[in-house]
Amino acid sequence: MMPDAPAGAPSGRAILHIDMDAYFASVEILGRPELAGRPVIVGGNPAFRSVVSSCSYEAKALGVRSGMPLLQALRLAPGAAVLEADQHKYSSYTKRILGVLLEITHRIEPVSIDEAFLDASCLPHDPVRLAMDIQRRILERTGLWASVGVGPNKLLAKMASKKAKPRGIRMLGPDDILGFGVESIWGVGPGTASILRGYGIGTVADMRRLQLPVLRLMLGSAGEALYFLSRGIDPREVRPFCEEEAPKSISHEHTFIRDVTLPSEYLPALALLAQKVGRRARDEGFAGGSVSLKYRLPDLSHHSRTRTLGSPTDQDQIIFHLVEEMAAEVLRGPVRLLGIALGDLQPASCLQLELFGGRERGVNQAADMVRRKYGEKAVTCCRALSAVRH
Amino acid sequence: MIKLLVSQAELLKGLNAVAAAVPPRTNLPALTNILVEAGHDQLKLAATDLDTTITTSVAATVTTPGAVAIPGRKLHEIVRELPEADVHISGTGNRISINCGESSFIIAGSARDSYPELPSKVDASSTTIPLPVLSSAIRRTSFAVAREDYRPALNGELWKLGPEGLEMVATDGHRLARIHLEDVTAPSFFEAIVAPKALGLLARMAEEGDVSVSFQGTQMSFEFGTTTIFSRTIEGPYPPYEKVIPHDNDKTLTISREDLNSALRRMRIIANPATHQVKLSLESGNILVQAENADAGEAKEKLEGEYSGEAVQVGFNADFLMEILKNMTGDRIVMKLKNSSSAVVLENETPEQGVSHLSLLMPVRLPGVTG
Repeated sequence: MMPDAPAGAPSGRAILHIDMDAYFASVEILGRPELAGRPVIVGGNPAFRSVVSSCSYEAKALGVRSGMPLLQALRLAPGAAVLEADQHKYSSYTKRILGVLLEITHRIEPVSIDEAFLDASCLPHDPVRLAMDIQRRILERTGLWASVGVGPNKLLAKMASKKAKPRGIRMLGPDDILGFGVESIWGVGPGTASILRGYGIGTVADMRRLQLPVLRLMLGSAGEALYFLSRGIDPREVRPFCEEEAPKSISHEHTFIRDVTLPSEYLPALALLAQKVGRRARDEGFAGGSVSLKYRLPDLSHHSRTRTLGSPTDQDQIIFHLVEEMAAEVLRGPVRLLGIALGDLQPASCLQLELFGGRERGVNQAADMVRRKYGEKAVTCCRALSAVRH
Repeated sequence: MIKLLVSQAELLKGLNAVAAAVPPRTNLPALTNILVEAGHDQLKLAATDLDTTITTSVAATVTTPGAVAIPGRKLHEIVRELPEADVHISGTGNRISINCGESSFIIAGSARDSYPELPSKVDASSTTIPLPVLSSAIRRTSFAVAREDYRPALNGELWKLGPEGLEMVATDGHRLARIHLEDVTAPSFFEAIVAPKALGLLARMAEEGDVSVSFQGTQMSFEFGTTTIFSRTIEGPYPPYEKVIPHDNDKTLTISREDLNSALRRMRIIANPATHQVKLSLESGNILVQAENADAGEAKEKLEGEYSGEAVQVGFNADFLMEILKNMTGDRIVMKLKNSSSAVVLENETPEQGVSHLSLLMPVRLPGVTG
């Protein structure tokens, strides 16, 4: 039976496909706003035979496509800025984007670095309003635009997000795709498309007119899959991504060049460690329910002390305050190494909200943005200064 | 040189009063002592950790007036174990004899001048409050005081005294408790952030009678009977708490305090052990409290109560909410809400005479709920 219920109807499934617009190029433009509005190509060094990994819509307008040799792209867009891809930077943004999605549900499946499915079937929200909310949250959190497709299954959601680009939201039901070209269906590459066109089959509507045995004869087992896909039937589940990778704690350590004894010697290092731990927690979307001070004495013995928090935190100031107190209590002589661990990690999406506006939260967010753009040492708190210099 | 006679019961009562000021750990050994001062027919006892000082006096027969500092914990332990009889104390700094019945102890004391100078009674703006009223007001607010927060002001409780009454406010940035006592007034206005130790001491006082509260500069004193607690205040500024008390929360839940509290206790078993998160789903005729934890399972409970306003879902730290409920007094309470991310106001359904008590609680963000 055809799943003809409109997307988001209570009885059917509601799947969202979130696809970042011109992802790598957009991330690069964030760091270099002067490139906004210009054709931007992210690929590699044109002197080598590299290909376009991503390009801005301005470059796309000139005919540049992902996968195209860079030299060919530059012939099409001679004035384009060419930037080397920075996978580390893109992964860091992807983590933050997934963090936004995880705030909504754990039923998300990242497909690649710049796209993910989200199963909203069990959520009480209207899927299109949820899509708008996701788009807004990603923009607020990262400055990047996503297009979101909504459908009763993965196929239609993905087709919808493609139609929605750029900066759009689109919902497609099985009957909305009749006029779509056959190549818009998942699994139909140029080869299959040309076989189909040889039979005079150019659109989804044309394909739906074919019986299953005919398609099987034409394309083998792939034809069987296409029979269903062309009817907008796609039973594949959104498989929540494995969370085994979720860290148990976030920690940083510092070994001193020579053993230190005085607070004035070790506090800058602790301040810097607190900053690093806080920054990582915020980047990865976690808040910790406990803070540990780890220390190693000149005899190489390891020790630690832990404080449990009333509510989990991802703020440098709170982490620093706790380790400063623990250090004052336990450090009675020279130390060789100090470390901070933020434990009992929880998704920051379940964070206890603040009464007084969370001024520190704003300061940390602003500092994070500066660091992302200009590097880790671009901004730091005063008490960590001497540690940064060394 | 000192020589006196005091009843064991009186001496123990005095030591019980001051012992709380002896610091459990300190870098200054002198502070582990209790100062014993024999004057005219009375024995004065004092202990301090430099932030909090407690002095008291008990009736004694003094033969040789004088002062000596005696190891606090040892003296307290000895007197606690002595029979109910007269205690003779005599000696000089480094050799103090304590004799009672057939028991005799000799412990090493220190000279008076080894002990820090004690604060003296201030003659400043003051008011008088029945001790049970003050203790109860502190208990109903101080649960919200921050513990070792990096913002020092939040580690104490703000007291504002003036012609319109005494207002006491405590907050840790996530919740807030405020009480206003109309009948406790002073002609001029004064405010101070009271240190947690003084709050703890006063909250535990079981005595009847009045306490005289005085403010001067960075110090406060609380005098009741023959005992005075001096406490250094915490430097401000206190956060602008009045601004965060919402006045436009348009959704109201009226519910039995005990019903809500016991449901929360049950939900807490399943809730995430780090966040203690529970979810309240409110709509007219349907009040649901739920907990969910991937590791432990799910729990839900339907509650009886009256809700008016649009449907809303809001998450809370169950421990915070239970602590607020525990420190309220009414059988039925009113929760006023706006949305899932704004402070919730909790008050007794029936107002108390001359006392206004209010608590605020910030929600825990719920995944997938906006607004």
